[in-house]
Amino acid sequence: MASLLYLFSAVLFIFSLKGLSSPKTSRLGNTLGMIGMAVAILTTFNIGHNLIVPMVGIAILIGALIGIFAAKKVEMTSMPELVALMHSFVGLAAVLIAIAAVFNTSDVHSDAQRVELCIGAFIGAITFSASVVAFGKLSGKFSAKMIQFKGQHLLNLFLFIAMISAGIFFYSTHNTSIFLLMCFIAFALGVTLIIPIGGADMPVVVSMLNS
Amino acid sequence: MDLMTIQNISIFVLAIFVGYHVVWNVTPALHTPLMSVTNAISGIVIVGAILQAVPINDHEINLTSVLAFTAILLTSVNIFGGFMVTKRMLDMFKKKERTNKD
Repeated sequence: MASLLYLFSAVLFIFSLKGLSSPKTSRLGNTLGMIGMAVAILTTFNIGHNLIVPMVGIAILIGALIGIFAAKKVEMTSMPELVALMHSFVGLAAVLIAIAAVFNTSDVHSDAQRVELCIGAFIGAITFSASVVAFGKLSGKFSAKMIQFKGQHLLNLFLFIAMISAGIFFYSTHNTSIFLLMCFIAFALGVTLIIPIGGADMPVVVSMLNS
Repeated sequence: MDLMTIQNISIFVLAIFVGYHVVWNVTPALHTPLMSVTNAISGIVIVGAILQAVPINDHEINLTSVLAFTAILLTSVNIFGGFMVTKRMLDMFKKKERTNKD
């Protein structure tokens, strides 16, 4: 039953994105997205085993208040910044979830789950730090100029290899500190990947990171 | 590979196709709202966060649940903020259309 409900919300999301592709249906699309999200969250409440419901509720409430407040307050011209900033939140959340799962001693993670955890964590970490830099450039807090230095690509390559090896090491040893190390390397990689890109290209970067 | 893994990979591959076809021919004017609605939907990771908010060894406050709390907070900012921002952007379109007609 739960899987069917998740499927239903996934279908709603697809229709939501589809709706956003033409001006006529775009508002309907947005509403469908909201419904899909509500279905998914309610389903999760139902299938979770001994969840700390008040804790979840409070977190959602605080988050909702901040989100709605920010969305109402912000100037139209600084929307891309806000989206970049919020996007960094998802990345950070993905990392936190992965770390939480790794430290959840009541769960034993299968091989496939450990691979997923690694990939989820490092993509989240890269997304987070890259989005923060993107936000900084869009809002003019950092220089929007391209920052390039010698051996940049070499450094990126090195960080990438280090991150993957840490991931493989975690996969074979279940070592939690190696997992944290991998997250840190991924954060650094996000920054070094994004600083060479100029401010004008930032919207492109933001939408790429969104994926 | 076990059945579960293969199923997950199939879903992943199909999702790539769906994503590509859904977004492929979007009017340029709608790129920004699409970006922000995608951003809101990516808040679906909240499901993963909620499932981690569990007591471990009967302790309600533990590293996992605190991290989950933070993650839920962050993603719900994203979900509510994202949909609201999109709504505002689309409202702007509506106003424009009206003034054009008048």
